Amino acid sequence: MDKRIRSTQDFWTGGVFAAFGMITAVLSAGYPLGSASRMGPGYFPMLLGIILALIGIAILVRSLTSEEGGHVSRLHMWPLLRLLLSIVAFGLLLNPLGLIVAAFVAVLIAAWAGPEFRPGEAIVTALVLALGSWIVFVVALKQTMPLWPVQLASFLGL
Amino acid sequence: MDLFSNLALGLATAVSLQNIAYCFLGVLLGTVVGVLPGIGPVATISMLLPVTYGIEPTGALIMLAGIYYGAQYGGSTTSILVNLPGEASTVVTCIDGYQMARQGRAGPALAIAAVGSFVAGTFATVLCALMAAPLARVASQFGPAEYFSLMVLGLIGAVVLANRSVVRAVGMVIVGLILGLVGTDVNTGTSRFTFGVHDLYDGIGFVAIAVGMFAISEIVGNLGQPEKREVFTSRVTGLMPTGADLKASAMPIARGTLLGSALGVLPAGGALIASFASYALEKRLAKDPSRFGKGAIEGVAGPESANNAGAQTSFIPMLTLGIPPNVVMALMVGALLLHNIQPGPQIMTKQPALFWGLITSMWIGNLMLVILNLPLVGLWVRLLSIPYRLLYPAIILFCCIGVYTLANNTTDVFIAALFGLMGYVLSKIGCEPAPMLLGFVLGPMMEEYFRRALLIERGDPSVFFTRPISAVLLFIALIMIASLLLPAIGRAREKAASEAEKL
Repeated sequence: MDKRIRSTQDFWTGGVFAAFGMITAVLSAGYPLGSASRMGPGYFPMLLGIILALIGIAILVRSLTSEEGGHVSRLHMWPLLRLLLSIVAFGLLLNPLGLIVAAFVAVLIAAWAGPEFRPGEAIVTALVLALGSWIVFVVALKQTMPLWPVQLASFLGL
Repeated sequence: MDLFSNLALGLATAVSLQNIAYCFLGVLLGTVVGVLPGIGPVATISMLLPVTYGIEPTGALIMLAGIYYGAQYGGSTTSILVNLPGEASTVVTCIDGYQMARQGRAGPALAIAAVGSFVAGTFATVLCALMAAPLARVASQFGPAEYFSLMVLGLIGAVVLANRSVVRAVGMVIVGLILGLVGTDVNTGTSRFTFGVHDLYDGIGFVAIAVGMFAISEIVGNLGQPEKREVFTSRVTGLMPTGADLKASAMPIARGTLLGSALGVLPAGGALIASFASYALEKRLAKDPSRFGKGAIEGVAGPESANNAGAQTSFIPMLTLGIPPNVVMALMVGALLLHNIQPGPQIMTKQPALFWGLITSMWIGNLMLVILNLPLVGLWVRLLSIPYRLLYPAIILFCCIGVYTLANNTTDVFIAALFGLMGYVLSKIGCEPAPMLLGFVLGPMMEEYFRRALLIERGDPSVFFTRPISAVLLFIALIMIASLLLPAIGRAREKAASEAEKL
């Protein structure tokens, strides 16, 4: 990291705010702005985008001059990515394969995200939770969602 | 006086079999998540929001409220017995509560915490009932300009009082406001920031954001830190506090209740700040402050009363003005909006059963909590032996299913994952998610009032300063910002915020 940056937290915060603000302002310019007395859909977001971008630039400048903002601590990439994968897997598997399979896979991946992963225990947990979620959400709360793989269900006539 | 007829209506609503059941479920869940460190009421309420969509709004609100104040009871159990705050707002209870437990006085500590919480809860319930009607009457006089200024004040107040870095928090509020505008503009029908994604036309789902930013990113944060949990396994014997204990606790409970009730109503108020303030007050008033930190019962009685009072009175601004003073109340607003109920002064007239039912249910819930917490304390302690590695996959799964069932739509699941990522990264660069959620909830309303105010005045922005109430509200917001520049206030605030952050 560049030595001139006194606070990496400020640097990234400023950057994120400035970018988000500018993107918002640019996108808002694509909608009718209207006037103050008759505001179009672009007016209020444009205003917010500009204010946010200014705040972002101010924090960015501060990151070069003051250490007040602190530094970014270590990112825990593996737990983060695995946990996100578990959620995405649930979303992707639910419709084609049904709740039981999606829940089983999601719990298994989620357990794998933690620092002390025990495969045997995780499989049992996943089984229990998959069946438990079926009982709680489908049987008790009467939510409608696919339960089994579409192919299998139609084959068995379920 | 129609207060009594209102309370009677509330009581009738709250004691219906169904609502009693929801209340019980809420306080039970609240106790459980309060006891367990690593999962708090914010994540739990986010997770349960989708489920409440299926039940009628009164029951839903009663249950969600129960989780919030129930967590204050449960959290104190963990603080006292394990020296680990089960809940952020019970962190100060650890200081003297755990010392009491080590001296073999865990029973009296738990009992005083429960009694104090109950007294505070009762008082706060009455206060809600008394204050709500006058406040709503004032609020019903408000025009769009006043509402806009009130929201500015609410948001500024929330970030000034509760965050270490105010610029960051203001930035996060604006990010939230912008995200709140995603979807179809109600006035013109233009779809904004949807990038052609059909599922975004109705806006980003509140539940997906709340689950992502709080439940998911919190779990990632927890997995990064190795778990340390030393259960203090002495048996809890003799719950009854001695006469001397009761005498020593009476005044701290009374002071904590009043202080907590007052702080709960303020923006950024609620349980957390109330408990810190009460501990500081008791220590200052004590004849011998050196006893604090060594098992002083006042250090348990005061903060425990204050956090419960604060948790409950923070409902007042949410219910009467529609302005959430803290993030839990933002979630409550979200729950109301899911049922197409616009929070604000009209709730009391349009939904009297909901309003008064919720308030009276809090008292009933507090009663249940005393019964749940004191005799069953052994059971709650045993909960702590569930390792986190078994707990968090279950939380993740319930988040996924909950988010999906809201609209039977997997897009929301992916959005939740995206906000989980965003929440984690933002917290790493020092931006807390709570102000963003406040902004997100208020975004569409703020734009609407801003537009209407300027439409009436033909585009003249001075309206916000020429209408007296609006001007006063903005003036207070200005003073709050200016106060940050005073070094003395700055230091005190920094200390409180950094202590709150150490949790």
